[in-house]
Amino acid sequence: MRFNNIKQLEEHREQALKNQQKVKNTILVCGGTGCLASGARDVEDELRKQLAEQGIDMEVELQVKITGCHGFCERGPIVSFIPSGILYEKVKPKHVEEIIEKTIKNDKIVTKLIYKDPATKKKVQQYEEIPFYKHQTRIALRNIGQLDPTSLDDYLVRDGFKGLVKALGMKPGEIVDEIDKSGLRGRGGGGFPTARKWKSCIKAEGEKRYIICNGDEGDPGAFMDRSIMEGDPFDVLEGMIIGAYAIGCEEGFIYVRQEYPLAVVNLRKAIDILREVGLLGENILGSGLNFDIKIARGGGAFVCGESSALMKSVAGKIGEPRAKYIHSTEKGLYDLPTVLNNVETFVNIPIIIEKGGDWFTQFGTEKSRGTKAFALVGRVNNTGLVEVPMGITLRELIFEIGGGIQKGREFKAVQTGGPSGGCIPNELLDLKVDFDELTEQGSMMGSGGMIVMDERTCMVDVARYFLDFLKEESCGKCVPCREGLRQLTALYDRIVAGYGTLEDLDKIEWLAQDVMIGSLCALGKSAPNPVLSTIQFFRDEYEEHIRDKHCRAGVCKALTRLVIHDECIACGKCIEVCPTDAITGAKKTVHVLDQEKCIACGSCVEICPVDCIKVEPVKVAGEVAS
Amino acid sequence: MKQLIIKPKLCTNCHICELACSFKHSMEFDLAHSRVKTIFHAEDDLTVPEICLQCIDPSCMKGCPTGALYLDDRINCIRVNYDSCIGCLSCVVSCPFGNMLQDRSKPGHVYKCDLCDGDPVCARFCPTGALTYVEIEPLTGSVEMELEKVEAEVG
Amino acid sequence: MPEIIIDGRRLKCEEGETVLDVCKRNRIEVPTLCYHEAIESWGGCRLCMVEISHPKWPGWSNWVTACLYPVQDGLVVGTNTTRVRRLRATVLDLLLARCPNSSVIQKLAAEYGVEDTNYEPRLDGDNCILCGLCVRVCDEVIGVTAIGTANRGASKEISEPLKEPPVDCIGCAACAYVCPTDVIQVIQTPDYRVIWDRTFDMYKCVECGISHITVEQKDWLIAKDNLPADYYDLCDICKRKHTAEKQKELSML
Ligand SMILES: Cc1cc2nc3c(=O)[nH]c(=O)nc-3n(C[C@H](O)[C@H](O)[C@H](O)COP(=O)(O)O)c2cc1C
Ligand code: SF4
Ligand code: SF4
Ligand code: SF4
Ligand code: SF4
Ligand code: SF4
Ligand code: FES
Ligand code: FES
Repeated sequence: MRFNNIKQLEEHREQALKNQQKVKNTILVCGGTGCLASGARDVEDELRKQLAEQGIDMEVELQVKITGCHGFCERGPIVSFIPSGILYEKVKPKHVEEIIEKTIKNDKIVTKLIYKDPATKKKVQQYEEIPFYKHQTRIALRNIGQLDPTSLDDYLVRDGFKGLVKALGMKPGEIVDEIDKSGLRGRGGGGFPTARKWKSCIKAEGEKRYIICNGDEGDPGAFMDRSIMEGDPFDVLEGMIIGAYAIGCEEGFIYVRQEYPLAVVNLRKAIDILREVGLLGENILGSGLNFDIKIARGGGAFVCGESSALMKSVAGKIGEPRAKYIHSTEKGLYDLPTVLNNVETFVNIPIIIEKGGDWFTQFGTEKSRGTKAFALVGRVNNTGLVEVPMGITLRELIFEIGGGIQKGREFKAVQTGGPSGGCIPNELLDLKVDFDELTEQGSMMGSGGMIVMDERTCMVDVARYFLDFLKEESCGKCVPCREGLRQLTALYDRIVAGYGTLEDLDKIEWLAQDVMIGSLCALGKSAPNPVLSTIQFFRDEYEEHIRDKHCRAGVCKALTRLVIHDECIACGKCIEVCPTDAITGAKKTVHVLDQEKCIACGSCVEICPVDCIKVEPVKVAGEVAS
Repeated sequence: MKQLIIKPKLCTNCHICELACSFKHSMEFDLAHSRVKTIFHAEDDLTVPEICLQCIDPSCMKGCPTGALYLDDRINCIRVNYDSCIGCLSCVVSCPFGNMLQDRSKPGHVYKCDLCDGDPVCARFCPTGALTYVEIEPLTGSVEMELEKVEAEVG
Repeated sequence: MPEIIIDGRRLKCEEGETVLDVCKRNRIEVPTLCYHEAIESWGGCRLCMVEISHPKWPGWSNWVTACLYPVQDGLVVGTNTTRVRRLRATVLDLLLARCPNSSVIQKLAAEYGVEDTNYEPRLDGDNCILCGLCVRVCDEVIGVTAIGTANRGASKEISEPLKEPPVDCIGCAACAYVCPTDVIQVIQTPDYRVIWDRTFDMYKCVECGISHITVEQKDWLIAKDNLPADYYDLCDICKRKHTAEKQKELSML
């Protein structure tokens, strides 16, 4: 099959739609990395096997599909049903029989498999009713979990390639204008206006141009781009084809992180299909556009996500950033004009072209249009992949979608923007999430990591943790980043070990400021964010560590002394969990904690039903074993 | 344009040029630092003050991978830009006449006659006129001059 | 032709020049450690940072590396502002902590008021400041790419591939020559040279027996310039003798 023109494509879409309508029920088994890891394949196999054994015709009446990630990976494997919208979590092969019996044959619910809202303890059976999904607006993620990522027909049925068809009827300049109108800004972190980037590449001179999709996603904990590449690869490719047509380019690369094998498999399948049907290659849909896409595997380093390092890596060199006083839109890959955009940026393109730039502006804020996907993790009740309109407040995100803090604890801070984002405190919970507001508070949008912290998180430790990550991930090219981060970590090590001085704190601030303006690339320039923002908002915690030798969260082991207070009800639970047998006690007597043996792991604090085990300052540094 | 001309017949092998050159360039009277070298031929009782020919098509310059050697066209002199030199010695092996020199006490350090930036001390102090720095129309000067240029070109 | 203002001086410059080029030409002191005229600017040491602003964008200023920043008409550059001096002092302080024993770094740091490092000195390290000049000269200028770097971040180091004596090295010692802190060890004897743990035989003048370059460098030069195999047989001193001989004959005509 090959589409030589738009008409043939549309005819095929009609056919696919008709085939789809014959299907009465579709069972969607999540095939994202998370669910695969928790056994989705086995569930799928078992479903197919038992349906076949029972002679239920899957092809026409019932389809089992393996889809992309629903964003609810923690509760995987996820199985959902179209059209009923029922969603089951933590499905095991042993549940299959019951599912077929009840849900498929008799339209009944398997109660034990439906979602229970941890905040309200209510059970929710419908996909859209789950608070986690209810408050989301899915544009970039709209197809994920709803289709088989390797089926072109599925994609066409969900309006796939309508954007491209429309684009091919426009002039390249008109496409850029439409994107301009939409106000789309890059989703990879910097928030650079996409239309402006494309325009400057169009203007640049060079015998060739390149377009690259950045799928490196190195932020620990982030998986938006992975889910998109795994779950909706055609959409990414369509965005790139439209981009290629707009800027006049024949060769594109999609740079996928080393650790994302499934994304590579699905993208490769999608590319092969598109080549076969003539949506990639020569004379696409008879428009005269020639364009092909290759997959480049990432170098495995966080810094390879940085644009100039990425381009070096694509060209087969060591991924080290260079100064960008001359933009990569002029001198990028192989020193030729290059457009680099993030995965999520690209998936927004087809729908903007299809529905128009104005349509897009209804979402988001004046300066940050549209939606943004986040990986919401940390101490919230619902963790996972969420997509929300820009301008939503942190409070809504954390308390409505995220369902609030686990175990009813107190919220302390949220870190946005990946490892080099800043920490935003309670006072600023009503901050609107968009590019500029976050930057103003010393954090950033980043590519969309969002880590929620509660009272049991130590802010000094948080800053140290991210510094440590960045110190390892610095490419080592420039002095402020390579040496500066090493020295900053050394200063933090002193503080958490109880030897810090207030002078050290001043040194940290001084050095962090210099690393910020002195470093070569954005990794070094933004690495001090966690340091400076925690010092700004949580200076008292630093001072407690230094002056009082006290880590109130009980995280910094050397500064944690656990004491059992008189409220102890002598339940003995703490004795059970203590790994070093540091707690002793008999019935009806307040238990006793032996400081010599205690390693401050906090297990007892966690389990104590009456919260009588408290964190208290150590008196001298080194008093408690570290 | 002025040229540095050698007239071996006038040379008495007094080494004054070498001492002057050494002092000018290294503040020391050490023959090893001189750019000019007098070479005595006992059999003919003749001394040649040997010095860079400032070739028209200099091999040293062609051998240099960094462009550290350049033509100073104010004085028609091939000079070393030490900021660009990487000490690879390609020039030393490339000069067919042995006039690109290496400092054997400082690895990688090369040097050559720089015409003392237009006032060569060797010529200034040469008591006999064996070395002179004089205005000469190209290829219409003394026999020595012409031969020298021919030599330079065939070399 | 663009004109820029550096430290209050209005200076003419050429299109495509960097701020550092202009500073050098006008003898304006800007310290550098990873810059070399023969090698493409790299921007790693961050010592050449200067402060820039532009009348076109009032209120805007930035810190950039002079060795890479291209001039634009009207640019205003400060090479010695308080903030610039602080940045350089921090960079040198960090380098001093990295290489407490390097006299080059000690001297530069002292110029910026850093006598002792404020940070944790690395006691077991060498004097390499990771300016990358050695790797870059070998790759970009010599063209043999014999050495590279290993690891990243704080544990980055200059290294031979696989930590073995580098097979592609020709022993030219250009890397050692450009190294600003003289880290690269070269052992030179009349017969051989040792560099990067590899021993190279020296090529000896067929007349006087004095060695000048390594055999590998000679072979490499001959291959590169497509020359006869005996092209480099004589040392500079013997070549001179031959020239004098010819000149003697010419002058006796
Ligand atoms: C250290 C570092 C890591 C980065 N990692 C990524 C990444 O994983 N994915 C990404 O899209 N952009 C990443 N970026 C941002 C890219 O440099 C670039 O701005 C982006 O891909 C441009 O696309 P956009 O305009 O669509 O956002 C990173 C930047 C830095 C400095
Ligand atoms: S800031 Fe860090 S990651 Fe960026 S170039 Fe410098 S050392 Fe490399
Ligand atoms: S004589 Fe040698 S050093 Fe002098 S210009 Fe000619 S090649 Fe260069
Ligand atoms: S030693 Fe210096 S001047 Fe001579 S060839 Fe090498 S770089 Fe050029
Ligand atoms: S000595 Fe070896 S490593 Fe050094 S520049 Fe020459 S070839 Fe490269
Ligand atoms: S060895 Fe020398 S030239 Fe090479 S990186 Fe280290 S300091 Fe720079
Ligand atoms: S992998 Fe299945 S919900 Fe994310
Ligand atoms: S000299 Fe400019 S950054 Fe090193």
